[in-house]
Amino acid sequence: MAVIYEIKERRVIPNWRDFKRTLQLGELGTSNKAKSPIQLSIERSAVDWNLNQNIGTAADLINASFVSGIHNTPEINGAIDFVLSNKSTSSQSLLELIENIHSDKHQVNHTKNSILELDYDTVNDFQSFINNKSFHKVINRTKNRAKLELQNPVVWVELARLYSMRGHEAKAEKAILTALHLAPNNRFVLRSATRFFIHEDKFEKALFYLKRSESTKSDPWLVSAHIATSSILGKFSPFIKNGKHLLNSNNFSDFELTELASSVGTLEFKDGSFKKAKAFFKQSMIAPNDNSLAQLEWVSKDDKRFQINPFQYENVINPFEARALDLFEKGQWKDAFYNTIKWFLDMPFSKRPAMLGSYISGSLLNDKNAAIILCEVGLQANPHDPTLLNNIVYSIATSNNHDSLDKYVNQLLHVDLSGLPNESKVTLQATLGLAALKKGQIETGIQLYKTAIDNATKIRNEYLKNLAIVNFARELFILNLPEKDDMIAKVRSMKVKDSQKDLNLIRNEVLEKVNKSIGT
Amino acid sequence: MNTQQDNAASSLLGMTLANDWKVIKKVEPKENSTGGFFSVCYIVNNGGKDAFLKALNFQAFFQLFQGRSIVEILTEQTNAFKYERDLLLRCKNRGLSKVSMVLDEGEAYLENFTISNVPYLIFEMADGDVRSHMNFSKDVEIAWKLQSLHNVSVGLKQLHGIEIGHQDLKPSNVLIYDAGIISKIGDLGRSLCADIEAPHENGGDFPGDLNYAPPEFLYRYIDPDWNYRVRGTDMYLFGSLVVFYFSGANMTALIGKNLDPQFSWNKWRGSFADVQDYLVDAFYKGLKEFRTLISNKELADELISVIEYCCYPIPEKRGHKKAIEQSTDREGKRKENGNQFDFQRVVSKFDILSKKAAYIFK
Repeated sequence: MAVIYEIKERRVIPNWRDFKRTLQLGELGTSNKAKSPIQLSIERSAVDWNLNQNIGTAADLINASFVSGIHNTPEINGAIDFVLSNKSTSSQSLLELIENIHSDKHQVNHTKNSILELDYDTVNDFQSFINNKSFHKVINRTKNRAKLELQNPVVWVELARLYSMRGHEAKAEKAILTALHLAPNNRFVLRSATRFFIHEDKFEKALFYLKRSESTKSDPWLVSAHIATSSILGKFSPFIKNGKHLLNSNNFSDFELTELASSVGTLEFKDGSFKKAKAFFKQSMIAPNDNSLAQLEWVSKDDKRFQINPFQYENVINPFEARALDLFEKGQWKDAFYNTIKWFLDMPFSKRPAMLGSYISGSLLNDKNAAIILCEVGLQANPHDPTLLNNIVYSIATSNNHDSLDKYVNQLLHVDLSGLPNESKVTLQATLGLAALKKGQIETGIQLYKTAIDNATKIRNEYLKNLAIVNFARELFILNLPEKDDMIAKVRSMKVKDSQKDLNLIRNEVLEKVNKSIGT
Repeated sequence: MNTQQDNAASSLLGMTLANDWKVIKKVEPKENSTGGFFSVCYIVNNGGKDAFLKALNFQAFFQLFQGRSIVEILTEQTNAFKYERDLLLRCKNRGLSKVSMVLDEGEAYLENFTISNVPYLIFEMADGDVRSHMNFSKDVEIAWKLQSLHNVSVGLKQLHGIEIGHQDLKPSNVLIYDAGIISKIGDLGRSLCADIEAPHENGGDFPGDLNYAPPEFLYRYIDPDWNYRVRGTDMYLFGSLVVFYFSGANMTALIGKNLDPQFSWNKWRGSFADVQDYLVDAFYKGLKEFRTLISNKELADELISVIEYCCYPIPEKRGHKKAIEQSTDREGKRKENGNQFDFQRVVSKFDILSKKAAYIFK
């Protein structure tokens, strides 16, 4: 069975990045207009410097300059010159304070629209992500740092993220709980924790910590997280009313409200209120982030009345998900694939980019190697994920090297199917059918494929059914089995919508292969 | 007579004051204001060592704040002078050895001035403040620095023992005596006292130099508990002084240097609660940076452990772990008689370190 990728539902769940990049994205700032920063003076230190010029009074004034943010007075410049002329009695920290004053780092602006920890231009480079032996050193270093900085919630969150990237769920949870204990009201901690718990399907825990926090009622980023998480569970968030109030409060910047507007817009959309949803999505797009942009992109695929071109939002940093979805929809597989790679690098614990990327490369670009690499990387963070296992089995089975087929088939056989949606069950049955055929277990393979097609018919999923038929037909044709003619006839006669570009592509490839062999 | 000439405080040179104090030299003021009141300073002598006289300068205030009510100014300045004098006399009477000693106090009377009375305080003469003795290069004068810090910690413990919180501890207020052998805390002008209300109490705002302030004050957070706020502030200022001795940067600057600019007190518009966890992160980065400035690992570990509990950016969690445990109940609430910021551990630590310094931390 072909690899399947489908986003059934999407909510504005906070994205989880390392602290440094989250800062760069500006998602931890605040623009509360009611409070103004404190004003400081350097007068006392400047008078002292004028009276008595030595390394001590110079340091005193440089400290005052740095702390107060007052730069470029004759006294400060004099003190800086003095220190620079007497480096032998200075320290590295003092010299760095001077550097900071000189460069006025507070004025730094980020103009790039891509901020990644690692960036790769080719899939082979990306492969180093799997074999990255230094990764465990990064984990160890962070673990040691957390031990030294026991009270620092930021380090514990980072440790949890690193553990999540390697699928160490229990260790990751322990680390995130430590961070929540230290900083139960911190936006970075709560948003990271929300994403973590949702990643682990522990939705109630995500809601518990959000609701318990004093910050949630007044912080639009957290209100949004609560609404989105509740929505996944089909629950009514008690913060909706407050969220709408915040959206109209005039106390926040458009950027601070983008996810909240998007979350509320999604609720209205799911409730069938197009007009209200449109207004909220419009608000979310005044100053969107990657998450609200991807949300509207997803909504626009579901309802064509919503129109969006994610490439128009050039100021959005890391817009990879929205672009990947848009390009996938347009059938621009190669560009879509590279955006899934960037999307994955942006959030290396996430399975969705690996799913979509492996589907595109394995089924649509026929680059089995790339698909296998992506699945392997995705499986590091999600070792038991049925879709990724399905995708890697499919890619290996349809490649020229079946060495590791048994390994992943065995893992797939251990997946508990009971909790999976019917669509996934159909997919897995077909993929196992494919693997069986490749291993020469013809009867089993044919039986599994037939079961998958029957089940797809039962659940009235024409797309899945057709996809299974096309794949089955291809394998029968390759093996030259008697059942091939009947199945190929079905492929020829099936009706495929223009919008199902992926199915069309696979179908045409199969028919091309068949036609070529019979010389038509 | 112009305003400069009509200034009794500036006209004490050559006079002999009560207790035979001869005013022998006028010195430039250390600062415009020593905190509470404006002053003119002199060297005086009554037959022994030279001493330092600070005379209350009403005139400076009139010039600086023209148009303000004379009654208001006189009341304000007199209250500030009286407050500092009372604290200094308390220190003297209790024999505080590591706080700059007031030797005498009084009031001169000069005829032919609009304000003829000049209240003054006479202090033991210092060699200067600690800044003139500073060398921030790696591993230089470690023994002297540790000894000086020990003196300062003793001074703070002594002050806390008589219910005074200094609140403006910084390098310029650490005075050096006997060619650098002894350090004492000076300038109680911004101090707070548990049983005398300070004129600069101001609702709990930080009374000292804000460029040295604990970060919570820079984000307008004020602990409503006077005792905790005042003692916790002194503890932070001491830790910050340790950082300054070895790095030339105070702890507040070191935190700021390692803090993302969007969280800086010069920009942040949110609450202290919203920013405190990022201060903790920057604080630890600052400690890591501090470690690189000291070669001897044992010394670095010892100093960092003291700085860590003295300067922890969240005031509720500041103080030695055991002291916090002893001063809070099981639910984390403060006990009435707890002292989370007791300086005894700091004093003992610097006593040991300064003794070790001579033969270990070379």
